[in-house]
Amino acid sequence: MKKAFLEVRDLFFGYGSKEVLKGVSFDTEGGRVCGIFGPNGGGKSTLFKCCLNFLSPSSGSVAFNGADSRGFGVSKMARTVSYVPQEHKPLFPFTVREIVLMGRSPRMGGIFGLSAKDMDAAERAMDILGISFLADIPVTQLSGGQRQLAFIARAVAQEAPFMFLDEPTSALDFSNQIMIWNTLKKIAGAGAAVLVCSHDPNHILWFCDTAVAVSEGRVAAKGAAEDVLTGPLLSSVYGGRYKVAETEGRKIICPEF
Amino acid sequence: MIFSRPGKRAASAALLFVLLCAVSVYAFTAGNYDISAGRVFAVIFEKITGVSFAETQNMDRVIIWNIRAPRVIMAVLAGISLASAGAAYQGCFRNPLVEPFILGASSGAAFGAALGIVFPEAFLAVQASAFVFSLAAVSLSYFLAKNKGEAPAVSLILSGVIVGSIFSAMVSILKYVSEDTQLREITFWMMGGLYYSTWGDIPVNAAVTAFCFMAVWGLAWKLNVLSMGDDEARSLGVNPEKYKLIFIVAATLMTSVCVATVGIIAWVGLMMPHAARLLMGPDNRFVIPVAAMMGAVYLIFCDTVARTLTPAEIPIGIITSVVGAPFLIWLLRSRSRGMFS
Repeated sequence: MKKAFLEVRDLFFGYGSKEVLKGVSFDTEGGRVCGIFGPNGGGKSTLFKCCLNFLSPSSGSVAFNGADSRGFGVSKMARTVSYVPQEHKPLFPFTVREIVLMGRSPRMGGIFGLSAKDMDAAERAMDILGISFLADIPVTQLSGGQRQLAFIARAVAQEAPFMFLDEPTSALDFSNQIMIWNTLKKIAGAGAAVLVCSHDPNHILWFCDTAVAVSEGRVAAKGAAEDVLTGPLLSSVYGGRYKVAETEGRKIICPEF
Repeated sequence: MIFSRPGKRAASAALLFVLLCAVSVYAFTAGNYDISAGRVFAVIFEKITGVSFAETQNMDRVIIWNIRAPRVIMAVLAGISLASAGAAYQGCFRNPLVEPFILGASSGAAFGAALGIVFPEAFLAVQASAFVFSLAAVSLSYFLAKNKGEAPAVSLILSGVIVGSIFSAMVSILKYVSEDTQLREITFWMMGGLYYSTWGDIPVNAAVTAFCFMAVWGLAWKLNVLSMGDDEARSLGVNPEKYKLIFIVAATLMTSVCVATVGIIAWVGLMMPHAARLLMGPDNRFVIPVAAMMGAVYLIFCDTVARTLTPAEIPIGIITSVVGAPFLIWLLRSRSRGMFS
């Protein structure tokens, strides 16, 4: 398979007269975890939604492996990109297996359409995420971390070359956060292009290969994660109220009170 | 979830089917004039095959075939329509407390029926006018909620409430200007009942119910995906606007045809999908057919109670509410125990 490649070019978007994105460009590719970082209200979730085709940009383009996503229908898009929502509040008590099987929807043919191949793909996805033992448990009874794993498994079952996650760890305690991020690195290691929205600079620093910092609708910095999260950027985001410490050879960015 | 294994699902569906047959037979035998099950079978056999039995009497034939048969069939059709429409709406709106009348189908129908009753010369038959206004009310709700090609669930529910109250107000105006007998007729119509069902109603109802039910059941997996919310559905390859519209159209068509024939029968569309979910889990591929069967059983049961409990007939809407409300209270209270989302 050709290596997955995402190109975002000169993206503009506005809600009414309020311009939110003012010419955003960046790239990422298969095998990498790319973080979108930025302050609240800086346009990062708008950018994320434009990449997912949930919003259509007023100008500019988002191209997957060279093909402009404006020409993609809903099901073509779903075969290209899988999506993990920020925090899913489940309404109906579907089991983990049923949730993961939903990831197969864009590839189903017939009316009821669940083939043995789809069942296998779902079992495999749960196995990769290490949640096979939860298969018959309703998602309503899972902890936040387990639920997030179930939704990532659904995205894995979708077998799309791109996986986009919106703040996947913002509602989790930190042992779960680290588990999720390690899982994402594993998924990227298998060849997928993983794009993650996060407002936590440490997560970007520790777990992402590359990062795009979005502030006031523009790209403030992009490149290798440790090169993006430098003093000037952090100062502009946090107004100087932060410091960088180091423990056991690892940098940690903490707020200053 | 009480059962979730495939074997148990099949077993409970089979059990339900047996129950449906048993309740139907009971409905044929019970009434002011008791008829034994044997005579019921003899008449039905004779009517279907044309081969007559010596023991069938004309009286039996009239009661079973002309009076009770259309009622039982109509109860089955109304049960299927309301229950599967309820399941479809609940999935589309991601709200387990939604019922088929949420977009104003019932108040529209009530207004249409009231118009037909108060101005019999100016309007079509009561039934046709109820159907037309029911569809009109739902379409109005849908287009009021629609903005830039999208109709979000919250806007739909709100516009449904608004349209519903407008039509209810207009029904009140009609009640105010109507004569005593008309007022009585409107009130009776709104309480719902199967007593007017005739063989003439069956073909249209059966065709619409069969078509819409198959559409909703056939797309049940998409409904599962839709119940995850618009963004997730889109990312899973299910276009939320397109499929919501398909489900709403199918559910509304069956609801409107049914409401126009039997009046407003509350609770069935809300309760049956829940009861089905308790038995089968939330997967709509199983919920929809099981809810439909339960709806049929429940309506036959309630209709039989309605016409046998007292010498005079009680409107069925009263029975379904009296039995249904405690069920909903139980459902609400058991929420904390995780029986339902």
